[in-house]
Amino acid sequence: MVTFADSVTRDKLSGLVEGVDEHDSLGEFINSLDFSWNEKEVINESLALLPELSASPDVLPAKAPDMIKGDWWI
Amino acid sequence: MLSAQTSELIRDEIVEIVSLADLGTGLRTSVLDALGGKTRVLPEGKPNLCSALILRSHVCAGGKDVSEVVPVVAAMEMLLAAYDVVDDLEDDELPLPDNRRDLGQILETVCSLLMLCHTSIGRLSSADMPPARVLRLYQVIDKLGADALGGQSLDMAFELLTDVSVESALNASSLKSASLVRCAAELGAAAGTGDEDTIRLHAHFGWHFGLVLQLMNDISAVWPGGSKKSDLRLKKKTLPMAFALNLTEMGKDHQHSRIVKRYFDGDTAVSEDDVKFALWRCGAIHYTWIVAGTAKARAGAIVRMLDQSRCNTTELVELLN
Repeated sequence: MVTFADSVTRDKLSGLVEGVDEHDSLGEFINSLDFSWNEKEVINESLALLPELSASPDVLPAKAPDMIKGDWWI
Repeated sequence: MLSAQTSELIRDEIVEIVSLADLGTGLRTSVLDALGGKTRVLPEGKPNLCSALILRSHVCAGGKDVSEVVPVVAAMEMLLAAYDVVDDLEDDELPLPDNRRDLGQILETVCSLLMLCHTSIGRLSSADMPPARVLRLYQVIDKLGADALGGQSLDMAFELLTDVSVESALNASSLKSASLVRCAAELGAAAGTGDEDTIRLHAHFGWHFGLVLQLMNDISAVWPGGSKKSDLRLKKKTLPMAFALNLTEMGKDHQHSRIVKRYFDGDTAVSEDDVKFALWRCGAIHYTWIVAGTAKARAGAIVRMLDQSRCNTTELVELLN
């Protein structure tokens, strides 16, 4: 089984909250992490769907955006 | 390809298998009820994701005709229906039986569904599928079905613990859900080809894709301002919760993670909405989102590998877009 721990260690992301303070945006922080180019692109693409951590609660969408197409049948 | 006609074939297959089992009126009704739902072939005709993935993986792996995997899809519908009954009970979404008769019927329903799942696969042996391939399908269902139950059990056990690590939470989510989606992708591929590399790639695709879906589900349950789901009420240690609860141990304790911890310690002054916003502000939702994004990237990388192996990946690419 391929697990998260295989290639993305917790340490890389555990600094999320502190690390983001050192960058202008969460996207920039992600770019500083050691992912492969393809992973980084997809992560940034999906992350663009989320407001920043510092966003005011009233600007959050009513529900979580979709990362995956929801209608897989026809 | 994924048409109303295919849906009808699956529905007919399920109804026939249940009818041939001669379960008796009460149990048959209970089994058919469990097989029905909004995202089920019965009664509306829209199969769940796993069933759709069997068909898509089958085509991708070189299967010639989707009708040849209809019994496999029927088996998956039965397996998932059995799990849903267990899951609904454990998540407090089904009334707990208060007498031995009702409890017995629930157990009989789950057992019947698992047996009928095997019956469905067995029907392939009279449909020109090589016996070794049929045996392989049995093995996939049994192995990954047991993994999913293991994940379910961990998920329940974690409700009572406060010191669940991020890795353990992710492992439980993976076993609980990614294994079932992997099962679907592997079944579809193994029914269409004997090439081990192709089957293995489909299995890994299913695993990562399933993990994305589960993590999205976990996020949705704690989305600030979102609708109420049972995860918080039951104190589930899903990935966002485990992340927040572990911030203290990581030496990154702050006011938001402390709010989450207070809630899990039983402080009634902290509401579910407080916890949701605290999870957002401490980065738990973003963290989970990034893990999901990583899994999605890996699923995409596997599709590219399948593409290079000259598989028809159109149907899988669509799922990721």
